Amino acid sequence: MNKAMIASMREQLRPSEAARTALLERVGEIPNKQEGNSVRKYFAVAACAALLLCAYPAYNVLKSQNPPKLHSYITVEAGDIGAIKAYRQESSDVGGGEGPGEGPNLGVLNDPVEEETVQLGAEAYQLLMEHFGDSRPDWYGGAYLDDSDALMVLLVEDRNPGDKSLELEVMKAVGDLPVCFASAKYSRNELERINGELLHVLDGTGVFSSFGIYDDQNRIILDVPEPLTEELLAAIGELDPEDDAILIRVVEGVAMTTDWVKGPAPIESIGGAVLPGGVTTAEPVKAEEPVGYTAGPAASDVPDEDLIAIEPQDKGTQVEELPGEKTVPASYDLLPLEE
Amino acid sequence: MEEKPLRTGGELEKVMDRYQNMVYGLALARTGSAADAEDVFQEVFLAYFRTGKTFREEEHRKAWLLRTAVNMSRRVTSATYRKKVVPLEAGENIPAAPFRSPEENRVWQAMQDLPENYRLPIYLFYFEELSTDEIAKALSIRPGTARMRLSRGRDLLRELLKGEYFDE
Repeated sequence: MNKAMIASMREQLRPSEAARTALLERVGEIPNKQEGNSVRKYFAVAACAALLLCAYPAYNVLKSQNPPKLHSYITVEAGDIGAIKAYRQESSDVGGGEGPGEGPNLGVLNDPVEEETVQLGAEAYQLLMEHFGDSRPDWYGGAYLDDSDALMVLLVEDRNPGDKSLELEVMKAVGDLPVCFASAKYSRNELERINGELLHVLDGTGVFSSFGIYDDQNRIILDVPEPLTEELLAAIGELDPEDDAILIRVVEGVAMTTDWVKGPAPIESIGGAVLPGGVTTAEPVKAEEPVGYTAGPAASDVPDEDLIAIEPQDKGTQVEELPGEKTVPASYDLLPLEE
Repeated sequence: MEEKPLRTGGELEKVMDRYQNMVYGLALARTGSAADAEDVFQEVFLAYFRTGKTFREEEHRKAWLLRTAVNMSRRVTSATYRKKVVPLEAGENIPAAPFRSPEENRVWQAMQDLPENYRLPIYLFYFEELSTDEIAKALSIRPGTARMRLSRGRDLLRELLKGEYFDE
């Protein structure tokens, strides 16, 4: 086409001045909105930046101020003998029936046949301890006598299931004596370490307590007459982050006696001898006489024929090292036992 | 160098000075109405001002304005838009005769008589001197289609103008 004509036409193709002015007026109305949007945008960006800057320190502060995890505990009614017995039966492997040979194994052996089997278990235990010497290996989770009075050896479960070398080592150590195996989460060494730290936690707190290692449960049982403070529960929670190495039992309805000691007795108080089935840590305190508690044999003026009830009053010092002893903490002796 | 979208009145006016004829001419070619073309002109530059787009090259800015002008022209000529903004007594489009000389008006009228598919490629080719690829991009068609429409549109225009005003 004719380029000159096209160029001329193009020059004339322009909007009117009125349209242009109207456009500029409309544009002039927009900056306020744009400015408002910009202010909002900058405010949003600043808020996000402030949030980012503050979030991390705030998170750290909150994290540091986060209340520590409290250890759990259960409540046991001391007045309810049946419940206590049932609990004892459930939680310990010592039985709890009324018949001969089914009662709690507290170290008194009346049945000659049972005594013989217990002796076998005890011998196996002694041989195993001699095999270990001064230090127990970390794979050893403890030992106790099972229902048939055979020595049950706990092996820490983080091993290859196909590896039977530990079983063979134990069987070699005990010779021909019967021995059984079970897996456990915590080694005996670990439980003793926790037990020692628990001692430090409770020491000087004024809390009456009784605790010890229960090999048959592969944990420590801490009995207290009153609920622990949150501080103590938090401290114990730190000791036992998985909440399964220590069982805290609040035994309600029991009066303070000499067997509830103010602060735990150290493990060394029993001469360092670790008894299979747990240790008693309640060392009688002469200064503290029984306070209004007469149900237990220790506070009774009438001689009790029930030696089972009396036997643990050995104060934890001269208890014979019998594998089946599964010594119940002295606190149990304060509980009203069956008539 | 990267050019930022023009926001202030002064900078907008520079862009308007450079592209207002292109936008207005395209809108006039598409709508056939000076009033509609002015509406399109305003809407395109308002959209440009509001969008805040960043153009890496001037060609991109030009392409964006072209594309927006095509879309706005289509919108302005839609029945829905007319119902909203055109009073009943205003009637249909007033024939545009925007040029000084009768020859120019004749050429323009011949272009207006072309079907829309041919009209816009012809306008963009002769008046804005765009390549077929640029026309294709502005109209969202394939380059081959743009070339075909240009060819047929030119034949039709030559026929309408009886071969006048064509140099080649």
